[in-house]
Amino acid sequence: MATAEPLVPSGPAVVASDLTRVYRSATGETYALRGVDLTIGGGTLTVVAGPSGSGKSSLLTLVSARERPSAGELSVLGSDVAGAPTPVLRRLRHRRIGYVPQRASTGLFPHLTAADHVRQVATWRRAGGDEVDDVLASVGLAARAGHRPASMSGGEQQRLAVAMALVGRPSLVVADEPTAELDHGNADLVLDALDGVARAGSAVVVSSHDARVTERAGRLLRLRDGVLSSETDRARETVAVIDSAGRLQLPPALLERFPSRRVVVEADGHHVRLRAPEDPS
Amino acid sequence: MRPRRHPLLTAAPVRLAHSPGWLALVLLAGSLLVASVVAPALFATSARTAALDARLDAAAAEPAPGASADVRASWTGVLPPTAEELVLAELDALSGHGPPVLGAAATAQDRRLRSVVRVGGTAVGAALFFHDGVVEALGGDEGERGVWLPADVAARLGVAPGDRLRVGLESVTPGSAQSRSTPATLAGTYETEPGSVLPAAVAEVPGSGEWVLPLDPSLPGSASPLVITGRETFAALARAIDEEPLYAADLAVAPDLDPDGAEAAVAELQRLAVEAFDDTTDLARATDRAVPLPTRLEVASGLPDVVDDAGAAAASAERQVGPYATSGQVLAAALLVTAWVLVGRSRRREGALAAGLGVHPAMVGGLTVLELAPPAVVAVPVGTGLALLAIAVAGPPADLGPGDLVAGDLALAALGGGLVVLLPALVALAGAVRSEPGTGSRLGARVRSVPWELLVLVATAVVVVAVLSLEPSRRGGSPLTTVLPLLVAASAAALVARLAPLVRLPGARPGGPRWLAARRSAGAGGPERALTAVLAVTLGLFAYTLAVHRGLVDGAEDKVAALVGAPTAASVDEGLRGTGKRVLEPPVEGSTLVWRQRVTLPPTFGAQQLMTIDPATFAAVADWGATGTLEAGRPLVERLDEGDAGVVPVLLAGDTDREVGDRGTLEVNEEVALPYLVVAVLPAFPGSEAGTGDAAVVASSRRVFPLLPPNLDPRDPLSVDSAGPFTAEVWSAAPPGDLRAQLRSVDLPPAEVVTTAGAAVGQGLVATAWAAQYVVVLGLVVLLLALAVVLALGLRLADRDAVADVLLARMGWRPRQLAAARTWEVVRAVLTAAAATVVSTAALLLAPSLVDQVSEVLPVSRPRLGTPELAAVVGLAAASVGAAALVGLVRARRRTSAEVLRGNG
Repeated sequence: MATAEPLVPSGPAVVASDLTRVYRSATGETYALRGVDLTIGGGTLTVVAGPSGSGKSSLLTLVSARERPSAGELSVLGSDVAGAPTPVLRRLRHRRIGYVPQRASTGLFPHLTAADHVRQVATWRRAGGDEVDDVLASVGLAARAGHRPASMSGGEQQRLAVAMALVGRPSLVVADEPTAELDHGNADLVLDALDGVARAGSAVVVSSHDARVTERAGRLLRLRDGVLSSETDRARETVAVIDSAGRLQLPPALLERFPSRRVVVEADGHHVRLRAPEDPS
Repeated sequence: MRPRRHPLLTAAPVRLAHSPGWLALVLLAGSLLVASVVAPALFATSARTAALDARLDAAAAEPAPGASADVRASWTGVLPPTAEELVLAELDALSGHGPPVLGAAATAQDRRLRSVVRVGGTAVGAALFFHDGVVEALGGDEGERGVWLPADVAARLGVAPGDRLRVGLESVTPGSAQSRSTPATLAGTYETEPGSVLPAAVAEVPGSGEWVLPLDPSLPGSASPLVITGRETFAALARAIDEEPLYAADLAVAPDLDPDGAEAAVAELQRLAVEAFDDTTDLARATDRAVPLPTRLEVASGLPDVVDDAGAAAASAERQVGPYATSGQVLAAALLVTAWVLVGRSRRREGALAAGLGVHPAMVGGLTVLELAPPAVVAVPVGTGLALLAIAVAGPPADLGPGDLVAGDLALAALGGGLVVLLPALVALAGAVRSEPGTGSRLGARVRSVPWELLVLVATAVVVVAVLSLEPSRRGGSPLTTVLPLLVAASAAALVARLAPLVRLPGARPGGPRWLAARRSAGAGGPERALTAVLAVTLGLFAYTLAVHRGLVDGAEDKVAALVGAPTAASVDEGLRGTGKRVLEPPVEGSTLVWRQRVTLPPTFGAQQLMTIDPATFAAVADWGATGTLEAGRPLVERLDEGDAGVVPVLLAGDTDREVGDRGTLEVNEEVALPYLVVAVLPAFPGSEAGTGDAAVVASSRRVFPLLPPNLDPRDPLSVDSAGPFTAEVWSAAPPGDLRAQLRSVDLPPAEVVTTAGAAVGQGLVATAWAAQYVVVLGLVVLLLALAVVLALGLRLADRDAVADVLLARMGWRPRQLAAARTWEVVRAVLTAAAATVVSTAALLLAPSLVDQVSEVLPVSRPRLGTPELAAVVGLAAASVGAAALVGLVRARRRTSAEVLRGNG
């Protein structure tokens, strides 16, 4: 890989508080995220997992400063995404955030070669010319550098999108299901590349429900119904998340213990106990 | 090879080459835009040339000096050779005309003298004459010092070539004035053309009928026998007898005169006319040296009037074409913008990638500029060529080629090329700005859907009210009028599209293609409805352009018929009077007599024109126009001779508040009151618009004249009324030259001959036909737009149903059934558009006319639809169905179910 040092943020790369995202349509409003509290630092591969419709893509879109939150606070690389002027966010995306969209293969420039794609982004991020070859090699595309997207497979196009996100060592890399269209070998290549960037100091946020991805996570966040329900760290300790409003989301297995959807919260010394009202105390 | 630092920038200029379909669409739209920008200027050039040609042709029918575009410069007296050379050199230097051809004739300026040629005691009246080329035509030599006499005159004098004789002026009565003569030698004799004093050898020379001939004092109005000489001999003999001859130099207008050359020629003519009377100029000093008395050069030419008329016709053409030219530019720009919006939609995810990478919208616009620069470079010459072709094929009848392009045209082409780049760049910029993260996603922001249908209906209502509040004469040129057809078509499309879902396809068996099409149509989304609406608008506009074209062309023919009345109308003013008989017959065969007079119809103040006709011969000669508006008057002509003898049946043509059955008295010259009965009221009648703006009162001469006092009755040979006599016109279907000759042969030389072609030029109606052709070109652009929309509709339906079709195919539906279902959907969309077209076209045909830009001449031109126009619209609708179905079928066949289900289809 190249010698360029990542633009490592001095503080956390992402700080979110009560983050809310609402999509509006003519038929009503849909809450994609409801009060998410989150802090993501550099040097970690953070994986956001959850079922379809849980809000993963919405969270990553906000974290990559591509959209503004409907409510709550979100700071990305020190900039307030909700209130920052558009040019500030644009510069952020241009220089310091690498982003791999879902089904990235359909968003490539059809008239540019793979090397041109990466070289263009490298130019914007003022990366060295040799880094282009390194990044392409890191995702297994060294031999396809001179090919245009139309002559590449879906997996190669996906890896090219990852290479574009990684070149120039951005401070924050956000990838929305980057291995969805890849076989095992290529998925490992991509994950190695993402891991390498994280180890070099960048904050890397990846969404996926692929077990191979979650296994390699330095930090695993689980989203359910737009709420951050649990978090697992590298030591494989899983904790539930209480948001800033005091809300706690229980796993489905535990939820069955409260058929009336009512709970008695009891403080007992250093412990807090949850009890169904119908259960004896 | 060194890697490119900014591949997006360096690859942009060749990007469209990777998408031949988009490249072709953008090239087409760009070329049309350039053509629409260049075409008005080329049209103006072409109109100026064609108007000048048409007016020159009309003037050629009036060969009299001062009426035609030829120049006649004349002076009296004999100039010294050097002075004559200077004058001829000045004339020769006039641009736009041929070299001066000089002629002269003795004038016998003293009434007590007459020109004679004498041998011994025998004198015969004959006057000196010369004209360039005549001596040579008689077999002589220009330098030969002798005279030629008519053979009969020589016989009466008893002289033969070589004999001596005397030429001079002689007292009409003995002692009334001093006679003077000079000797000359008879060089030869010539035979005269029967009925003319000119030698037979030159009688057929073009323009010889307008040569200056000496008058015979014994026969007023007739020419004297000619004593023909060469130029120098003429001058010497004239000086010797102290004659003051009339010299005339004729300069024929150049056959290839263009508008700029004509204007330059007029300016030089005016300069020459001023210099001729400016004592400080060489020209005036030269003519001062004439003998026996100083003289001045007088210049006569109809060219200034020709240029003025042509300029007015060209300006009228530009004014009439203006709204259509603007519409063409808007349509072409819309086509280009639509094309680039479609290109942008095909790159939507790529745009999202660019926004995600933080690409500045200005750079997106810049990339578009780079991408479109090569197509724009190609579009400039292609568009200019298209404009030239369109003007050559459908514009004014002037030969326009690439060599006629001036710097202004090239600048406009460059401007068009700039727009080809700029408009898509703005579209791309706007799209990139919209892709930027905005503030609209904060809570509290409301989703607003624009009520387009309501907005269109309200805008249409507002514009209709605004247009109707304009004076009819100003409606044609108003921008509101230009936009109204578009709004009406859009409103009709909105209404019909709203009602269309209520209609079910007949015979739709559950599980069949029509059933599937009906269910899909019922759930059609915004894009399908929008495409159907745009198709309805384009189809409606196409039908309207056809209706406007036909309405303008036929309407112009009606107006010309109302202006002139017949293919050729010769005004003989007061030159025609009867012999006292009861009936005045047309003077020449195949003609009819029309009399005009001013009358008042109390209680309305102000004079109107009375047109009395000869019902027996009128209908066969009159021009009844093309639309049937004037034709309605043909069966009414006979009724002008019916009824009580003491009441004059009249037909009113034009704006009037009187109705059929009204009675009253009309006052002729405020001295005779004639009772009248209105038997018909028409918008116009052949010849009724000769006095444009007045309602014409048409009556039978046989009913009016017997009621007039002798001093007004044209049948009376002595009828003269100082307040305004009846003036006569002879209408005929004969060509103007033939009618003029016929009238001359019956000793009735016309004061003016008007033709339908000449009137069309003079009133700007010839420009109406050109504007109508421009509308056809506009219709073709709309046609292209309609076809583009239809193709987009076909593709849209094919793409929308891609996944569903795969699933239906797995359920047992055959490809033929799926294609049939799509075709039925297209049929439904096209039928919806056709229904909207019927509504909008009917509204525009029935509403007050918006297309008449020569509204001062009645009848008003209205859009009209005939069988060819209806066939064209139906053909377009059928072609639309076929094209959309075909493109959908091809699209569906080219992809595999695997591609569709993977999302790449």
